[in-house]
Amino acid sequence: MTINLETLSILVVDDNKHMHSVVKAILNSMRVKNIRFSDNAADAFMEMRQWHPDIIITDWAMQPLDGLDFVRLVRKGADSPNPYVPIILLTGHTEMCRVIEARDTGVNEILAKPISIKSLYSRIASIVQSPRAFVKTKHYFGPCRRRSTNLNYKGPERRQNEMAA
Amino acid sequence: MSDDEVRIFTPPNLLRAKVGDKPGPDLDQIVAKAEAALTELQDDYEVWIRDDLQTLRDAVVSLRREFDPKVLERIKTLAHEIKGQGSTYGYPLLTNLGHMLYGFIDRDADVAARHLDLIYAHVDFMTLVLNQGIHDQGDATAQGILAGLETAITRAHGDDSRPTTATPSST
Repeated sequence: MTINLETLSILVVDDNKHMHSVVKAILNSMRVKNIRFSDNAADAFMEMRQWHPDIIITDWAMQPLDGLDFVRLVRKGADSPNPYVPIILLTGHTEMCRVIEARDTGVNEILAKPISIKSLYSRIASIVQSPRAFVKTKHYFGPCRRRSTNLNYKGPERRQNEMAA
Repeated sequence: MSDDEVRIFTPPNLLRAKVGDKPGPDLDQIVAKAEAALTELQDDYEVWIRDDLQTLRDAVVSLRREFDPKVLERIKTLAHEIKGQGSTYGYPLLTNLGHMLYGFIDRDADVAARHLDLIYAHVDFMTLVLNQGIHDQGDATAQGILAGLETAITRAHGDDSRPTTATPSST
C-alpha cells in the first residue's frame, strides 16, 4: 500500500523544460497536483518565499547557480524561507565522490537520471514516513548523514554529545 | 560553534500529518499511469531530441572551423541531458550513447577535441537509433556499433584501458 501524496506541494527546479514534463507526468501519476516549476535557482528561491512547498526536487546541472548552490542557499542562507525543507537532488552524476558532495551539501535524497518512477516514489515516501533529524555543526547544516546505526561500531565517537554519554 | 560541537534538531513531522492515513494507489498503478503519460510525451520528445541532435551537429561543424572550449562544453552538457532522458522515453540506447559521449569528453577534453569525427559518430548513431525506432537495448546491430564506438574511444585515448561505458540505470 502506498501513501497518498495528493495533498503535498512540490517545487521542481530544472533548467530543462523537457524534464519539467517528465517530472510532472510522474508526480501526477502519484496524484500530486500541486506542483510548481522554476527554471533556475534564483527564481526557485523567490518561489519558496511566496509559496511554501513541502518538498523540493532540483536538478544539479544548472546555470548560473547549480543545484548544490541552491541547496546551500536554502540550508544556510540567512534569508532562507525554510532551511528544513526536504530536498531531492536529480543528477546524472552517480559517481561516489559526487554523491558524497551532494550529501555533504545537505540534500535529503539523491535520485539518478534517467528517473525511475518507483525510485522517485520511494524517495518521497521516505521523506514523509522516515524524516531524518537535522544536524548543525561548524561546517554542516542539513539532514543527518548517518542513515543507520551500526551497533557493532567500535571506533571513536566524533559527536561531542555522544563522547560525553 | 566549536569544531566538534554538534546540535541535533528533530523538526515535527508535518508531512506525515498532512498526507493522512488515506492510502494512495498501488505502486503498479502509479507506474502504469506514469508510463502511459510518458508514452504520450514520446512524440514531443522525438521532436526535442532531433533539435538537440541538430545542435550537436552544428556544434561539431563549428568546432571544425574554429576550436572553442565553450562549444565543446556545450556538447558535453547536451550529451549529459540526452543520457538523463533517453530511457525515460523508451530509448535506452540514447542514454547509453549520451553517457559514452559525456564520458569521452569529460575524461580528456583535449583528446575529444582532436577526435571530432568520433563525437560526430555518436550523433550519427543517436540519429540512427531514433530514425530506426530502436527501443531494444539488446538489439544486435546496435550492440555491434556500440562495441565499435567503445573501441574507437579506447584508441582515441591512446591506451588499452576500457573506457567508462557502463550502462546507467534505466529502470
